[in-house]
Amino acid sequence: MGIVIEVKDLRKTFKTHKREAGFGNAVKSLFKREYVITDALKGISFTIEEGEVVGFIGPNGAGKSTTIKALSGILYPSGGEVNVLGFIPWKDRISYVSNIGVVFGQKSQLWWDLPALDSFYLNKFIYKIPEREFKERLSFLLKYLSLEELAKKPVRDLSLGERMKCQLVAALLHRPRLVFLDEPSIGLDAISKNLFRDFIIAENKKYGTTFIITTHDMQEIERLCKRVIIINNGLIVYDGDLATIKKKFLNKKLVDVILEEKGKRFSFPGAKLLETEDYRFRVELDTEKASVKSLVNHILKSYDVEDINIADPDIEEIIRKIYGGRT
Amino acid sequence: MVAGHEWWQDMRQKYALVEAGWRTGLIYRLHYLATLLSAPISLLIYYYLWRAIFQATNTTVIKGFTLQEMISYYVIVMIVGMFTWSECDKWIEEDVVRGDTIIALLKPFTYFSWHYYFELGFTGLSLIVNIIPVFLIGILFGLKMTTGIFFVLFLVSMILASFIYFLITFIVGLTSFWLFKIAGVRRTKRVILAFLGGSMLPLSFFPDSLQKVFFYLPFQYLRYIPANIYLQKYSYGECLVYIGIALFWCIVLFVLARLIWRSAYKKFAGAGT
Repeated sequence: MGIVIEVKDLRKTFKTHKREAGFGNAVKSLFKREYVITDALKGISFTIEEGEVVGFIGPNGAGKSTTIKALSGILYPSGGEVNVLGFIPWKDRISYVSNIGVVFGQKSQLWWDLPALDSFYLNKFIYKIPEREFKERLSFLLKYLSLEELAKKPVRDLSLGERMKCQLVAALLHRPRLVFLDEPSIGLDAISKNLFRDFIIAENKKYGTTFIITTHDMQEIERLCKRVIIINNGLIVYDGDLATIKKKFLNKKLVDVILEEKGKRFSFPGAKLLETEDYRFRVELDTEKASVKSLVNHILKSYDVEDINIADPDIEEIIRKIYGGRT
Repeated sequence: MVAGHEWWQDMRQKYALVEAGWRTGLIYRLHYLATLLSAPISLLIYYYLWRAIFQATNTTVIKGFTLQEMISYYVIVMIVGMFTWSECDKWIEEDVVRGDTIIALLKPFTYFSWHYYFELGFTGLSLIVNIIPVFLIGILFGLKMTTGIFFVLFLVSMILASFIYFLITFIVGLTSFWLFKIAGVRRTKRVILAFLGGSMLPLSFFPDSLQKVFFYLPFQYLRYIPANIYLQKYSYGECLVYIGIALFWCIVLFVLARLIWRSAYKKFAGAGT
């Protein structure tokens, strides 16, 4: 399998107008503009092989979308080299973009006033898909995502989740070798999310399609990606196996407990009390010191519990730790 | 054979955008119907206004126009106006404001083609729907068919007018990459084009010195020149000279549009909003 993406020392500096609040400042900025220089990417390098499913994670403003935009040809980087499928994306934009599929969770790439079906049909010509291949592919995708009826409605009348599914169809119709998904599960319900994940796995197995996914959803990453690249402050802070990072940093669980009646102050070896109120408390468990099972048993035995919720720490938390550990 | 097939695929690819344009236009068909209603109303106003002026001045010819030619002028200007309509500055502005420019850039077209072919379909539909009724209404107001070769010259000048109009609108649209909201610029553009293009008054009504200035601007090729060609105000030779100059403006504006787009794209891709 060949290399699909090669990125060397990619940098991006934004120059933005400094805008201050207030009418006086707005008038002032008409005559004299001050600029703020932001380093969105401070030199990142990585390679991705054909058939990989890679998760890009990082807090808001870390540089994930900037990377995706540079890789999909709509952004000029300030420095560094990028080679995707043999193209320099921003230089060969027109010939390059037919080879990729892109879904931006926040944007609709379908004609807003037209039924999604019309957009799909027009994409057939835009991407020069042979008639038979198009028909098979479209009916398969519509059936799989149960869009047969919805695709006949104008895109503007669809819900966020329905629109997202249509976007996915549009991005995959021409069977691109490489697909970028930027927060693709926004607006999807639990069933659709599962469908969507299964679908990506199937596509990847069947055609060896490479997927690059950015998301804040840790479950999504766990389902889909063997490899993750974590970006923070414009730098790659981790690039490697998801399993390793989980073992290292996902050894914490957050347990929220809501009580029927007031109880005594919580204490348990291996667990740390984070917050406490009359009828609720929050605990952080170190899973290397005690198991979830033993903690829950202890809580159920000692308190009159109305509700209990166990969660992984959020991605920002993990990144902060990794980042903190490096400096 | 293979080359022919590729050529066909390239054409079909562009036609997909034209199709998106007319399909979108079809959704707004009520809007077209409203335009259609406005035609007889404004012609009626022009008719009574100019009849009053001709009666008051007690002449049959003003600045080379008889009353009937005057009304025909407005009918032709209306038809040319429909043929050369473009709102791509509005689409471009909407994209920039919403941050949707990337959608166009993710498609395998130049930014120019992306808007041009869409607009071709969008305006093309309005043409098919409106041009014959307006022509018929015009005949009610005394419009005469023009003769053979002048009709051909008129068509050519109208096609060139549509290029010039689109290119100016496209360039105006691109300014939103710097100015962001351009409602004011767009309104100014509309007034300037209507005024200097000759939609409000034939340009022969202006002083000679101004007319000399108009000669060096691209605007009179939008309405005034095509309408006068239709009304056979020029000799064949003059018609060809005007068509030549209009062609020259198409090329100049096209080059200008490319240069401005390049710089707009640099700004957009550099800022990455």
